[in-house]
Amino acid sequence: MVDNILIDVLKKPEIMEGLSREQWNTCLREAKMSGLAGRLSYDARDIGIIEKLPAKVQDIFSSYDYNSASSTRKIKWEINRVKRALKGSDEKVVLLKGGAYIEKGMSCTVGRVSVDLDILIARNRIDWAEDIFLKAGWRHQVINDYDQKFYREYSHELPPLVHPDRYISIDVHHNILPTTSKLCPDVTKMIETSVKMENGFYVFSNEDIILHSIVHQFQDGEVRSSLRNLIEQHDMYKEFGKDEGFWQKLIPRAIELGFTRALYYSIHFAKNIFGTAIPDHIIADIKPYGPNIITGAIMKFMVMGVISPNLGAKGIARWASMNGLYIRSHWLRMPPVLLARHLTIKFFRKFQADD
Amino acid sequence: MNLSETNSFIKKENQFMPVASRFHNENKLVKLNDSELDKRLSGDGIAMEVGPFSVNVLIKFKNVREDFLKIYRDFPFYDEPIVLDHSISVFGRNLFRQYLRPQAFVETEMNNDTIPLPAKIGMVSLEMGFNWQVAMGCKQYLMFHAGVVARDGIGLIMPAMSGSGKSTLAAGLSFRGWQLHSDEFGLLDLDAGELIPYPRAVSLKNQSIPVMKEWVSREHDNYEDYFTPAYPGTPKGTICYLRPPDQSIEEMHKRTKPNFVILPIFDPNSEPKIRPITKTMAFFRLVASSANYGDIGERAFSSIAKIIEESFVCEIIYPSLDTAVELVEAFIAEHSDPKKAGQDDG
Repeated sequence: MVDNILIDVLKKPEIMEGLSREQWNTCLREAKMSGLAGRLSYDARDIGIIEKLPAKVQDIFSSYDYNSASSTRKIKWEINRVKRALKGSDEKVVLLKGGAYIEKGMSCTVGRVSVDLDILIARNRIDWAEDIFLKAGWRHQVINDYDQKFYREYSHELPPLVHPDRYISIDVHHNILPTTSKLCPDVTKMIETSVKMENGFYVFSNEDIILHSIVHQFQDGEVRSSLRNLIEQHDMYKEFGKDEGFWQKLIPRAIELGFTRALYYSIHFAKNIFGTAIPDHIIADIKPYGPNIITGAIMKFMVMGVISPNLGAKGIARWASMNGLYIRSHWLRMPPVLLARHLTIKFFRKFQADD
Repeated sequence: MNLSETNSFIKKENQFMPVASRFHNENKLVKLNDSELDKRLSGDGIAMEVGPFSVNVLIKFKNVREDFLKIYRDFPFYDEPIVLDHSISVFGRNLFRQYLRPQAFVETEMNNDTIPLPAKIGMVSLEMGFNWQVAMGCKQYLMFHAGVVARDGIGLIMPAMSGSGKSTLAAGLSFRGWQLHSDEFGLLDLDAGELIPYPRAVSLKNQSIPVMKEWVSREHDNYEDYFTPAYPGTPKGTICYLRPPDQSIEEMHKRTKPNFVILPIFDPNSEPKIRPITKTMAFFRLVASSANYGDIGERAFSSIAKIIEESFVCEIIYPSLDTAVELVEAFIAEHSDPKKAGQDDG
């Protein structure tokens, strides 16, 4: 379906041994831009071909090895610091995304870099949590009044908090999508079924972990790291899918939370791009939730356009894909009037900043 | 043909040409004249090597290419594709910014968020882009914010904050017989424990520009050839770039183990003085100067501990470049007796 060196290498790491210097440059460039260079390095080591690669590639890979190792270490330490700040409370705190993947030791964390720590807490406990973190030394990263207000009124998280000694920001969520979003789910259902880890934090059930990644990618404007998100979903289908219960629960859960269209896209693109093994009955059952032909074609054009600069879309087409998905994500996030107001304020602020 | 044979072969062909690093085949090196280089730079770009990094450079402005060539014309350029650490391009973002009100935008492919500068000072954009790529992208070598020079098996690290005059001091030493590793980015190979040269354009700011011109003119009649034009009005005031000495470019792959750590403090009203410091203090100063210490982690800790263990350390306070060079050379001469190596001086 696709002709792309990075995707080929992700699917079959052993072909790294035979890449030409031009192919290496294309592959490394795209891997860096998609946040996947660390993963290639891990794969090369995992299948034992690292020493057969060009010396320069090994050198570049070792930089990414340090990068992902340090990211994992920093996230683990930040989880530890959050735990310490929350000591004495029995509040249910859910680790999201990278934090959860690391805590669960999931296969998609290899070579991965997380820049911040996302946590989820019940909405009525959000002020309590903010107070605790501020007292424990975290500071607001966003101090602009409008942004602060916007976060609090319309968003699904507190303005990001960062500890001045550690530079990792923590995003304290009370939902996984903005409350203004058409798709904003009843998150209490996800909190209820979350699972307690050894360190006292919770993580979502496997179905909810993958649905969160999916909705994040296909609805919430994670445009630039599309390929990384998609391969993580591929990993998750593989890892979680060993348990037959996962497949039984996946679609009913997507229906319950209202994420069926996003799940359709994830299954469709993962299968077509990475050849992910998805049971036939799942493919048949999710089909009715797909888009009409025209929407499907536009989505395919846009997703392919952002996944790789080399996949057909170039120049204006690529610009259209990037911005199309960005606009789409904002459209899904906010009602039109609010969106117009938000963008107008953002636009005029540019001029203030220039003064 | 082994490396040294290739090297002497190249030397016969051309007056002066650096060797290839261990990463690339030397038979792909190419010696081009300025107009050929200019053509490549403005087309698809050309791959070059600066220290341990290979980078493809593309420049769409004629004046920036001229300034670039002034600094880099004798660096190793490659004729055939090589595996690249980075690509950098300097261009106008649209026809208006390319031709009518030219503004140099730099693309490092590493999410740089730099403000475009007027094209006439586009060289500053380019150098800032190089800095960004190394500062953000290099985790495989331990990096010090320091001036580093070497001579006869002596590897000297001078960690310092911006404005302490370390660039001027490193450049000053390099025009008095030392090999310039870098005026800003000290790099250490963690496996070999060796300093890796990264001799790029030395960035001189404001008052240090006339100081260095005078300094280089004492050794070279054609000293102006080593300097780019001065670029006024940058975020850091007036900037001028200085080409490293020919010998330092030629030896850009010659590594040295570190054995001296000197902390320079420029104070125009001071009496020149060597001040002893403890090894513990030197250790922490070296840690503080390292940009990727926290990313590398434990190996960074043990590497710095080893450097300090095997080095003589001190602080120098100086009012001028002349006195600084004297102090550095005096301290090194005093401790060059190998039997004394590694003793605590504080």
